[in-house]
Amino acid sequence: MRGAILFLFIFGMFPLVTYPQSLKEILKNPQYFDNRKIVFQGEVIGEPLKEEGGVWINIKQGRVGIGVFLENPEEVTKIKNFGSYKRRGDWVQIEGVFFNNCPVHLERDIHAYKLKVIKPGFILREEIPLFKRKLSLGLALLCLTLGIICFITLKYVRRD
Amino acid sequence: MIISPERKDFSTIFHIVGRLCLGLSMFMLLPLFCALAFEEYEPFYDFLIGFLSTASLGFVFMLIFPFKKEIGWQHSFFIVSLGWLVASVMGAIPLCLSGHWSSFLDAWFEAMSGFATTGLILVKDLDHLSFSHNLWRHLTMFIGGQGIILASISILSKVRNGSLGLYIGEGRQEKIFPNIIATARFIWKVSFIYLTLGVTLFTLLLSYKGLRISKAIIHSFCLFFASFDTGGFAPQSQNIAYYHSFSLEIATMVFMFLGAMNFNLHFWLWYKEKREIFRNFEIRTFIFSLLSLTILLFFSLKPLTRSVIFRKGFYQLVSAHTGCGFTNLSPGEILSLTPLSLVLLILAMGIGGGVCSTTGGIKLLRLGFVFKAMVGEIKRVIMPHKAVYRDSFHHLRDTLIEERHLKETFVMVGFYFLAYLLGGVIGLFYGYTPLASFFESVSATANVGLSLGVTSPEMPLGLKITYICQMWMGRLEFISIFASLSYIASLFKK
Repeated sequence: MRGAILFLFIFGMFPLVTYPQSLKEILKNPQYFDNRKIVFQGEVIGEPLKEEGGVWINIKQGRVGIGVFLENPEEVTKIKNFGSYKRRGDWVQIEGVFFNNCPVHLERDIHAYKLKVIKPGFILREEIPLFKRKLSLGLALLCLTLGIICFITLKYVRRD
Repeated sequence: MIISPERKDFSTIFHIVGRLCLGLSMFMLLPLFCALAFEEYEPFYDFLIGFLSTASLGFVFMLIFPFKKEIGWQHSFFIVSLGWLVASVMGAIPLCLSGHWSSFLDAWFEAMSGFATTGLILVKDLDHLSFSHNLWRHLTMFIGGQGIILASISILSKVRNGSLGLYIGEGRQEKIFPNIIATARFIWKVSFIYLTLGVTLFTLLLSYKGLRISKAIIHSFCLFFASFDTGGFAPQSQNIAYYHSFSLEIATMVFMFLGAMNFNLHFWLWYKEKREIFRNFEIRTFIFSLLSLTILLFFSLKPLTRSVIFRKGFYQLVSAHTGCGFTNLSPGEILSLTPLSLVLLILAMGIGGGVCSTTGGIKLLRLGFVFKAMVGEIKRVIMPHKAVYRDSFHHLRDTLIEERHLKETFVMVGFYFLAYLLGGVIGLFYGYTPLASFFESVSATANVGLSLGVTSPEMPLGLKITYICQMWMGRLEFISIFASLSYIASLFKK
């Protein structure tokens, strides 16, 4: 009896804990996850995109990405960094419902009801490697010299 | 008998390729200034190195190989084949320097895919790629779509004498004006007018979605280059699906159709006869082919609702048929479509758009000829023995179908089928499924760019080289490359 209570206590707690799933796995088994609640994490990329009744954000986890529809546009204000060339986007956790063929938007998407920033993004600093600077300078001198020789040669040939 | 080249011939060929390099280096200045404008300093150096090395190579070729002979047909094909190879290699330099491609081969693959307006990609972490590199990726499609050589012959004086050979060598069968320079300029004019319209429309749509104006303009240029030049690259890794915009998808479809239309037909509609659109043989073939494929696609995806079929099926079908390669689905989603719908996409990709357009594939005019030949053969059998059967078609004017039309058609269709088959068999050799192998092979040869996931940085090296060759050959319609190869082979027969 005590064992059964312990079993129920441990496994009964599971629905209260949210475990992030792999987006790749979700997208590999779309039929299984269709219309189901899912939890996953990823980097926010691009920018928020306006839509009637909410706002779109795009989340990338590894090589796969998906559009997440936030019904509450206020949620998007939690995101401070959107991934781009100059920024690493915020790492967020999304809780929502996965639709293989969304009846509203006619595409594969996730309707999120909860968004949490797990790790804030940051500015990516550019460092120009020394070899690029040296190579540019060397090539500039070479190109200029060749250009002058070419110009003189062609002019001479034309006169000839 | 094959005319064997002399030293003078090679000198002329490399001299023109040198000039081509100079022309290409000028195009690299655009992303270079874009990098400056957006304060992307490392990409600025990438493009500076790309610009300087391409210009230097051009000067070296021009100095070592003086222009010794007027350009003849045999030179034209060699210049075109070599020119496209050199342009794609030089175009890959700034891409490779960015560090977003695993190797130079991957960057070369992407550059060839861009110039050939294919759209297959090997880029890693596209969402963190700079604006300037993205602009260059898309600009390669614009340059390639116009024809790298055509783009140059309209500005280079020395090439004008042999310009017809160069023009035809780039896979265009029809002249618009008797003069090739005038034809080239008309193609530029058409493209720039549509560029203005397209960029304005896309900027409005993207601004409405909430993109800030500078980003909306850059994305609009990219989307226009990719749709009108039927390239299929997109600035973000999710391709068109990134924008979640039905209206944007419709707008891209319009430009895909315009890009797949024969430039000669554009000229006719603008300056001569508007009703040509209803009478044109290519347009009729396109409507027939698209309609038949759409009906079959509808039945193949029947369990889905009509609106989902339109968004998920019809969009890919139009993209495949026009040779664009834009997609609002991930490779996994395309793979999850029914086998019949994938076969229909392969058929659409294999056919392609109009001749003298930016699309690849067998082309609509040739498909129409194949049907006419089949119908004609059946009629010939059932007609009286002494009866003479002649068929005609209306493409800008009424023309009788002659033996040479059919011969050319069947030779070209044969080349395409062989290339589709060979690429597919190589895919099978590397262990991919038959459907994926042939899908990718047709996509590469017909310069479409839709993928079932075979094309990735991890794919075997041999397959990367195979697809590079297929994209190159498919874009130049084989003849230039085979003529060049026989030109080289003749050297060894001396």
